[in-house]
Amino acid sequence: MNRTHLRRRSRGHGEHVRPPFVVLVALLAVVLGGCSISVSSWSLSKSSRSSSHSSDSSSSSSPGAAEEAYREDVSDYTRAYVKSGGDFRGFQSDLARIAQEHGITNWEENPVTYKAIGEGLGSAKVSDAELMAYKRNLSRGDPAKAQAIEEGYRSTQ
Amino acid sequence: MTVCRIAALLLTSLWALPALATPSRFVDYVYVEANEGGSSGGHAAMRFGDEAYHFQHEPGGLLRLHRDDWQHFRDTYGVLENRTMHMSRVAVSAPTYEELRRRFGERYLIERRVFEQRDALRDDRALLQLFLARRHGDATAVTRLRGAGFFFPEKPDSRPDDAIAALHRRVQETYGVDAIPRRMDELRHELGGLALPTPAPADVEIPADGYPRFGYAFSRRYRDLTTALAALAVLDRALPLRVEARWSTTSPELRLAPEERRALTAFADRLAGELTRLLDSDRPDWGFTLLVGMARLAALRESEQTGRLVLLDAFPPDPEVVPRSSVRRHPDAMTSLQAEAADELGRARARLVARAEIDEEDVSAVEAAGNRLLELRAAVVEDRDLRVSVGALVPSRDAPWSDLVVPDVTEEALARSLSQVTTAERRFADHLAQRCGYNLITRNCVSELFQTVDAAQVDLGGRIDPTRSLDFIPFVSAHAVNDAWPVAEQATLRSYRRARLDDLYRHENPLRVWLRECNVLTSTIYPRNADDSFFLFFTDDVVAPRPLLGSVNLVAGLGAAAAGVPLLPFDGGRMLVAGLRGAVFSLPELAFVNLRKGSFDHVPRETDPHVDPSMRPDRDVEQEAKAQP
Repeated sequence: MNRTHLRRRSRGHGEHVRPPFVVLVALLAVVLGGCSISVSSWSLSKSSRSSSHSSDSSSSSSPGAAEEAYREDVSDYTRAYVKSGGDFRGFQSDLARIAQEHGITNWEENPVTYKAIGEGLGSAKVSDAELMAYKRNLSRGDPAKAQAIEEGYRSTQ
Repeated sequence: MTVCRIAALLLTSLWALPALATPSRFVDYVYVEANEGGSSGGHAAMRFGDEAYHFQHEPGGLLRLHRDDWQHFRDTYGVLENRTMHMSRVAVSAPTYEELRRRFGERYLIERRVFEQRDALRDDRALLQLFLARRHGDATAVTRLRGAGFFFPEKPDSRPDDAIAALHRRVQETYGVDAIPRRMDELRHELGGLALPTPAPADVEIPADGYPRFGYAFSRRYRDLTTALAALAVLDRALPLRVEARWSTTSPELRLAPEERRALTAFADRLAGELTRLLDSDRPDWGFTLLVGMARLAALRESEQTGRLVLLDAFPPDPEVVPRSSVRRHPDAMTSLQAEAADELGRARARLVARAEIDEEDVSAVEAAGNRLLELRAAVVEDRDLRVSVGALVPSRDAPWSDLVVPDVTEEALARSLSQVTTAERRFADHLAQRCGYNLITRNCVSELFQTVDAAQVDLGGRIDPTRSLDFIPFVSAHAVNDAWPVAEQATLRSYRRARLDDLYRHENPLRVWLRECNVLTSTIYPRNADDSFFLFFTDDVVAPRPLLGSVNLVAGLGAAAAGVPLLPFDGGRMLVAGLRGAVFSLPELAFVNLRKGSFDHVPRETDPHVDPSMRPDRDVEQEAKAQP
């Protein structure tokens, strides 16, 4: 492990004057290729261990980490979707895909979904009328779900 | 005196206010050193806590944003690819951190949706072609339904499943005796009346910013409805799980402890209630959830009755596979992966009894860990390919589906729609290439990281514009970050081989270690990996003798290439290509530049120094970060 503490320096564009040799070598390296991965996609270790923050990921054996990752995704998604102004059916359809990426099929019964949607609506700064519409459509009369959306929304205010 | 004390306290509190208002957090800019092949230019990523965002150049010339668990990223690049990483820890305020993380998260979701639209248009076309084939009398034309493979094709004379029969009764009690056939009729009617796709500009244009408004694709809607129809058919006839759709093993370690059994039983009871409510849901994907839920319910009830964990086959329908030959070649790796998977299953099972009430995520964790373990064992015992999946394992076994409702339109309308969709698909591919096309200089893994940071519109002290400098090169970009952004700390994460070498140097005679480990023939760290080019000496840990060792590597590479010519008919040119690649990647070594480092097919966790807490720099730095006000 090699660690150094550096002091911050200001820098403007064009101040990167490097020895020509280094630049030449760098360009050679770049020309040869970049941004790809060399290890075979089916490398044993890589493929036999989970990579995502889904509930089955080895690194998220603590349920909290997986739940937090799901909450963030649903919140980010809701914020982005609401700002773009898509329809409600499209919203549900994409939400289902995101939930599956986290290993969740029944997102409708997961309380985290509603809190995260509320947070997304709050950070998108939707009006009270829009909040009411989402609460009505998503909770379908279930007060616990409506409450979770409201709580998520209020937490961002 | 008291007044003075109060005044001092007030002053101290006021002094601390700015720190409380802007608590520091850290975003890491990660530069990954080069290796041979597609990674010879190096790589870069941004790390937010446990997540690493990085752009990868993919086949088809597209550059795509990936999000990986940090440990997985480090395993892949630092261990398997054996590349040293340099982290620049950028200190930012909490709001800046959140804005940057959210910007990367949004971009990831947006790109994901864009690539899904490409697939949706392709699926629209395939479905329309299928409908036309049906109209032309081709009854053999079928599609495949995700989730249906747990029950279909239906086995003749099979006994109804008790768990699903009980669910059937519950549904009838809740919604009426004719609820299921009535709902099936409604679905058939809806399918028959579906409007054919007529892609509008909004379906093929990729917006410059913001979440795309592509809408609910025709093929997705058709599949959702057909899947719901299949799910109701299962429920109506209480079809049993197919034997192949579940793991049948008598392994004693899958025996359930009484408390595990109670937890699973309680979950199954709740699941039955949730599945009943699904029939009243207006969510578009309820059919798939019902299918998977019924499959799980049947498996859970069997677990309850037998006292053994019964697991669905959770691998995706078209999984990646590790070829049988590779499984055979690495018996030690398979043993150690099985041990890891067994540990993982143990941890997942511990969750079952650690909580008062388990949920889908807990069951899913057991299901996934169990699947990985049983698959590893089965590949060895049955001497077959190993199915693998780096993503979440969601049970989604598919089945061919021929009971298709063709929308009630004329053949001309079908042909017209097909033509429009085909055109839209082509146009979308063009737009995708413009939007996500890789360019060595203007659009690579570095430029897009900086572009995303710019789009977040946060103040990092200085802007980095890779289009006006050499900052588009990964290793130059790391210097740019160190100069322009408020980097509080830099840390180097040694590649796997270098870290192991450091460890050996500490415990053995350094000269003896170097002599043994400097070459691929006697190295105890590096086993020859068929993916690597042909070389003899490692040159990443030495500088002065690099040209000398490089020239030996060059000669060795050319020699291997020459030997590969007569071997062409026998090895398909593998030796020839490895030799030529070896020679090419030896050339930079003549000029003191190292690219090739060797790579690994498998590294057991216990020998990976990156998982040893004492060698994890981020642990210390994170502790430091937590100590910040």
